[in-house]
Amino acid sequence: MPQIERVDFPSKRIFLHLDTVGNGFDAIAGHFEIKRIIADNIGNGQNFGQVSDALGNEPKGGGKFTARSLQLFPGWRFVPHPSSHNLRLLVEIINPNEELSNRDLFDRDDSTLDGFEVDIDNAFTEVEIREVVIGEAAAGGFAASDRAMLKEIRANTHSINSNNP
Amino acid sequence: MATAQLITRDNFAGLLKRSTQPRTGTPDGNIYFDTTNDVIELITREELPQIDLGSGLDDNPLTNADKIQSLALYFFGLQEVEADPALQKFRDFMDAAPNRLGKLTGATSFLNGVKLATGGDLGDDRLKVASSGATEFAAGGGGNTLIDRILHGAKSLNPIEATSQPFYQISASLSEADRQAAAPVDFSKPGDIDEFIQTFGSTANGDAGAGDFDSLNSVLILGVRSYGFTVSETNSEATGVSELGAYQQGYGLGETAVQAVAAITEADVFGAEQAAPFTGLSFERVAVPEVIGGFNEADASFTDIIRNTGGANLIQVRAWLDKLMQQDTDQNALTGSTGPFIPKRAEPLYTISATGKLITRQGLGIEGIPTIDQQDLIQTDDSGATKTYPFFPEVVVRLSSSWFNDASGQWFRGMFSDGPAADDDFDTDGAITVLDSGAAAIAGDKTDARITPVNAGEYYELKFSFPYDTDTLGGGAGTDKTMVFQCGGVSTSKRRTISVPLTRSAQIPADASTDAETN
Repeated sequence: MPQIERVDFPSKRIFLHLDTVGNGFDAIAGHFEIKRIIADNIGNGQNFGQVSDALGNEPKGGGKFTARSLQLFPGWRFVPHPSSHNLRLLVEIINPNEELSNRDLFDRDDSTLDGFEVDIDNAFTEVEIREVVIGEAAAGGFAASDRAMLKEIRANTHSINSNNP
Repeated sequence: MATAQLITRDNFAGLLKRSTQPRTGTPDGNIYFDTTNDVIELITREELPQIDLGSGLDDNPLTNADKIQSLALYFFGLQEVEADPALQKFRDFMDAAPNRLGKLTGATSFLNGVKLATGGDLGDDRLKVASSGATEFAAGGGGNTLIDRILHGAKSLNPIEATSQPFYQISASLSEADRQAAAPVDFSKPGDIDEFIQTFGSTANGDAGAGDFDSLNSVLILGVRSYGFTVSETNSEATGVSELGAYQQGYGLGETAVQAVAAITEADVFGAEQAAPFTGLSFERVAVPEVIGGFNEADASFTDIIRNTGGANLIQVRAWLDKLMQQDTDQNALTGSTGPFIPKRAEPLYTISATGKLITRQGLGIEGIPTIDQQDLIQTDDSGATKTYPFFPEVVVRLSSSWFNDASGQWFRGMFSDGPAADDDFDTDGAITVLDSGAAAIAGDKTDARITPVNAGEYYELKFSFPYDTDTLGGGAGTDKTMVFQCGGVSTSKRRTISVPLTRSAQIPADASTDAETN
């Protein structure tokens, strides 16, 4: 089942195939279709930098594998098939460089979709690991008031421990 | 203990002793005056290991290797004549020519038919004299007017390996034809040269062994061609010697080790056990000069061609040329049509410049030198013009086996990072693909002939020469450029993008190894 209709390398746009409208979009399968297009140098694809990379699927033992995802390189966007539909993403799509993921990596401008409405849902198992940075609030850490509260909690904890050796 | 040493006019006292008997008898000294036959014998340690120099038996200091200066013999003879009335009854045996203007260094004369003995362990005692020149006069003619022999003293001025055998030629001129007719003669011993070369001979006055020739105005060529050492040659013309007279002359001959050649097994290079790639090398003197192109300069004609069908690199060709130049037999593969060529008799086939470049002799072209070595080669065409190659660095890109063996295909492409126009940089539709020196695009797949396996397919190498000095696709010729090299597979190999600097370097290695896909 094809995933990709065509790739426009100069504008960094990947147009999804009609089949994704009803069946959802398997980004990993799409990745291999893009590789074929580049190997055949369709649209001078070899003249351009890397488009995508398939991540995950590393064996964990016992027949289990890590989750799969597709990394899209900076500037690149998928364009849903131009018809009003609810596009289901079967594989997670990430772009760490631009700090974007999944639906944010789709170009849904009216000009590209000819006015069609496309909603995008994640249809894969979402696992998110968040790293909390200890530091100033502006950098995503605790505010000064929070740090004062934590300090007070630590002090009380120490007091209890001291009384109950 | 008497140490072996060159015996000179300054040190002969205490080192020479007159023998009472000839070498055929029971000699007890290292110099024997045979007044019956007008012969002087030089009895070296090799014939008489020990003599009594006044304090019991001691090592004979006169040796074949270190020799004796004829002036030492002259002054020793004077001393003996003064001391022995029996010797005073005979005519003069030797004379020392005045040392004028430095030209006549070591010049002596053997008078009245007196000669150094033949026979002995070297066959001729003349070979035991060093740092000298001599004229041998016949007994007749009214007294020292008729010349039997003239002995030119040749001495090398630079070190020659003790195991290297130098040789000389006496040639009418330095022309190829005269040299080919001049048979090489080995000096009496390997190592540094210091001995007589006969340049005139006449049997008319009773010296039957003198031969009849006059080479006084010929060219003396001295050479040493040992494997693993520099090929060295000089001649009397280059030295400024107008006549090969009876005096000692220094010649700027010597050799130094060439480690890169010495590291190549000699037996592989030439002869019965020759191995590849040397088996693909041959010398051809062609009937119609061949035109070779691809130089910085105009195309050029060459009459002598080194064929190189085995892809030997420059140092391998040099090793082979060194062996070829030792051969005193015809080595022209086309001798049937263009005649013989005896390399040992010919001018060396190459010289090495001060910057280490191999310069072929006039008219000699070498085929098939790899790009990486071309900057170290200067070829001299038939007209004497030197020809150099434009700088074509060899780019070697490592490719992984996962890329090569991708089940669904693979590709590679090299593009200029920054093209000369605004819309032809890498990552644009107009990106310019790099061309190699043969104008072949740096693009393709695993079937490209420039890709070869390494270690039986452990990985692969894409090799090509980049026309650094002539490429204008990516900007100005002869300027540094950057190539973005990309490769990727379709199903089982990931993609890799690397930046390769195209600079004035002989070889440019790059690693474009790719990982296997996990999906």
